[in-house]
Amino acid sequence: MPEPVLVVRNLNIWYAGRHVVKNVSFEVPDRSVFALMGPSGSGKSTILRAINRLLDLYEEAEVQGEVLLDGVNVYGPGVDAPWVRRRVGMVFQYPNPFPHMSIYDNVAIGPRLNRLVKSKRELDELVRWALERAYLWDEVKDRLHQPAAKLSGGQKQRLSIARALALKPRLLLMDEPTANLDPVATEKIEELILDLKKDIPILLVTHDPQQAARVSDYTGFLYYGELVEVGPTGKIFTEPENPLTERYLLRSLGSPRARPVD
Amino acid sequence: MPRIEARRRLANLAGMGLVAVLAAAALLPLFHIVAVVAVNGVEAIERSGVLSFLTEAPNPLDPMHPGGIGPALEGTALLVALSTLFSVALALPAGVFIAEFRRAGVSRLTLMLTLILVEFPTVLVGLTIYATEVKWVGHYNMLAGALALAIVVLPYMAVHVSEALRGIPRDLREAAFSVAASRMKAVYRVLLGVARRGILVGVLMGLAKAAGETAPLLFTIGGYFQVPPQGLTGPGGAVSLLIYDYAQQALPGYRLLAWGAALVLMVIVFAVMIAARLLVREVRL
Repeated sequence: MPEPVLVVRNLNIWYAGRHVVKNVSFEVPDRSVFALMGPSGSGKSTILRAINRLLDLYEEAEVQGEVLLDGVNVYGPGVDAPWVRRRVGMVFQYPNPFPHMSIYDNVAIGPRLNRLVKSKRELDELVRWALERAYLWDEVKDRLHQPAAKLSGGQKQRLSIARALALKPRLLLMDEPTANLDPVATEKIEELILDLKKDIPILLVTHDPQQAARVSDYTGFLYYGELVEVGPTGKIFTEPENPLTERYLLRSLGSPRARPVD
Repeated sequence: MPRIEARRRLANLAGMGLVAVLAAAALLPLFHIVAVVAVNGVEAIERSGVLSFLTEAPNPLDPMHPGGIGPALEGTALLVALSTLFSVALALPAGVFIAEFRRAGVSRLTLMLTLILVEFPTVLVGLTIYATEVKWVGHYNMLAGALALAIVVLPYMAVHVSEALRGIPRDLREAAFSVAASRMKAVYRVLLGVARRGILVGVLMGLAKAAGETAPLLFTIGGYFQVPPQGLTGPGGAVSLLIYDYAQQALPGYRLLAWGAALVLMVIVFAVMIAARLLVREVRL
């Protein structure tokens, strides 16, 4: 079995002195979607921000433990945050393309700022590739230079995904990417997740267990900072070992008998 | 029951009435100033005609044909343009420093000094420039005035820039950092663009302030209102200084010109403020 792309080992995070992530360990193998689910406030988003070192931006946050990306500890000596962020793409809860930039510039900004391309042609190709990969190219190819602010919510979110993909990251973090989208846009994003994972593993934060069940290969259940249970998604949903997990799933999904018959 | 209801409504009405009266009382001075300046200003400008008043040199000895404030207006334009240029060049990095490097003690110190500078007596800024630049050059000059104005305006702009940056939603800020190759690039290539409207509003407010300030010019530009400024190293005039100077003269022609200049200044400042308001209203993220 090849080495997992991401290994999180004994991760502890304090925020303003409060212990919000407690000794969390898990792995994300290549070609897979790992869903981190749990009630809001359980520390899911904080874990994501520790992985790409966005927590560096907040002086109240303190991180201990190891986050290994392809075997390199992102908190190791000599590793700087931009290096990590270039290799770990991120998609946020609110679809957030940069509102003052065109569709094209939103995708091109990462490669430009990181000097990943040498010519305009190369950049054009990279932008096209990222937009195609994010299922957006056909909808925007005729208006690449129009403001991104004019797109619909689902399109904006796919643009945010394209923006992250343009850096050709090793890992994609998604922080409740469909929380603010309608069901149709959500379905499209989920379809996209299943397609993307063939090339790039995805760590998905969600408070919707059904979404975890639909798209993920592995699921971790986070409950107030503790990773209560981790395993293959099928197993977590059919025979959870921890009673907390079982209770959470029952409450969120409803017991089979209580469900309306379709 | 109905009696209590009636009393309650009466008390409410009385309270509302009191608030309305007090609010009107607070706004009265503003309306008074606007009205007095408008009435007197219109009278003064009418004697020469709008275009002549804005372009011709003053002719205060003939109250029937008082001329205009053209040279002073040119001076104000020069001073505002130059001081805005100076203060923007310094306020951008200062505002970025205050907003984005809050961890550093130097950044907190910068914020503190900026807030002190906002309240600093502007006449002292003028005096300081007099004691340094003007002494060094040997005579009053427009550059000295622009420098003094820039120092007065700089802290306002820096605070505006830092506020505009701090107002960027958390997600958007994190997105900038997640694609940028360095902190500096995230701020200068992405976040300043996101905050550009707020920054522009700060620049406009600073510009309006520069146009109206008088004290920084007292010891710096000399106050020559008959001829337009001869370059940066020569002396010149400004509309605000003209008002200060002419309003103290005994002859009616001077005071007439001062009223007209006051109206022109008020219109300029209001126009800039309204433009800034419109920009704020359009802010969307």
